[in-house]
Amino acid sequence: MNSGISVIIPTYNYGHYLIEAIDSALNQSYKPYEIIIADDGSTDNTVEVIKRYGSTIKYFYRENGGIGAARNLGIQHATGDFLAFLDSDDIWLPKKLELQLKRFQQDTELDMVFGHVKQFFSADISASAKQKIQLSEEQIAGYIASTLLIRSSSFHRVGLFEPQWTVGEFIDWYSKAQEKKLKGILLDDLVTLRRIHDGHQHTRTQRNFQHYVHVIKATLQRRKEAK
Amino acid sequence: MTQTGCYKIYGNAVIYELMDNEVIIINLDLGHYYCLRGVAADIWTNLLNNFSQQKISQAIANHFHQPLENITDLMNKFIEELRLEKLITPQENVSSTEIVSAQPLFHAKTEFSHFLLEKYVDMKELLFLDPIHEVDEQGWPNQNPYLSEAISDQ
Repeated sequence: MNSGISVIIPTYNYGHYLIEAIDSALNQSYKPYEIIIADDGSTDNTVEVIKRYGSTIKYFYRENGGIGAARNLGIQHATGDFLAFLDSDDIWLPKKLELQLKRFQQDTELDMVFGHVKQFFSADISASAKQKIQLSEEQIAGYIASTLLIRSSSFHRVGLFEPQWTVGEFIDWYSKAQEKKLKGILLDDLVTLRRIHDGHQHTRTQRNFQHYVHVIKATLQRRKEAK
Repeated sequence: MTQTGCYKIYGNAVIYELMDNEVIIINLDLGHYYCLRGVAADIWTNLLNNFSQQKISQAIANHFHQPLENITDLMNKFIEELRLEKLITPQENVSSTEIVSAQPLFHAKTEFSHFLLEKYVDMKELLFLDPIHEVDEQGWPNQNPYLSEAISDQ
């Protein structure tokens, strides 16, 4: 089995977090085939950060269109047999890819593997934001993009991310994956650290939160039509 | 039942929207989501527009020509269910100016049906992961969804 893993890192003005994300991908015990940065119109020092890595990583730019659109850009340029997603403010633990790939080797019918995630407060988070967030210190089931390793062919059976959702885009995609009966498992292992920072407050506005409701509505509608 | 019979959204982790005569509700704290259709959707909307449970029951009985006793019983069970799911909570201190004196409204396409709260838990782990407590105490929208919907009153 060709086990080339394309790592897709969408980013938007997270140059200050991006180094840790890229390094955590580069430091995997199982080396990825390629690392793709999908820049969603950053205006900060993201390009400078990327230059430090030279040809080690592939860089693609698009006008700002949201995280779904950025991931899609990366997917369109990915050539590996597997896709792994890492949000640019998150960090992988060193054995993430190795542990997940091992499961694929044990079960050739598997489509996707998730793992556990632990959330942490970024060192630069403001006191006011920190006060508002109730953060579990436990590791929790990580049904998020940053823990997922999936066969490219399985991903394309589901389709790209819907670019119109600012939040909830992964929930939308995952519900479609369930409808396509993709076979997935959740590892007990902790594979990803999820950074909680002030930036979350900018994206999780009241209006954006309503996207969750629309995603759920679309899911229920699809189920109704499938009956 | 509360003294006023009025209720409000349980907290800022409960988000909802009326679309196509259906109310989709998510309790982000629990990771559960719900769908209300038909009369149940209308009850939700009227409750959140400060109509009392008694007033809505009376209006349903009149509008759909149903015995008030039956409607009251169905309403009590429905409200209890919404409360158990932590979607609404009693509003004990409703001032007289806040209690709506007009009549509850029903969507033009609504036909009488039992008041069903459809509950789903299959996305619990996905919905639960989001750090939703970043929102402020203003909570989520309380706009009258009927403003943009075709409606008929009684």
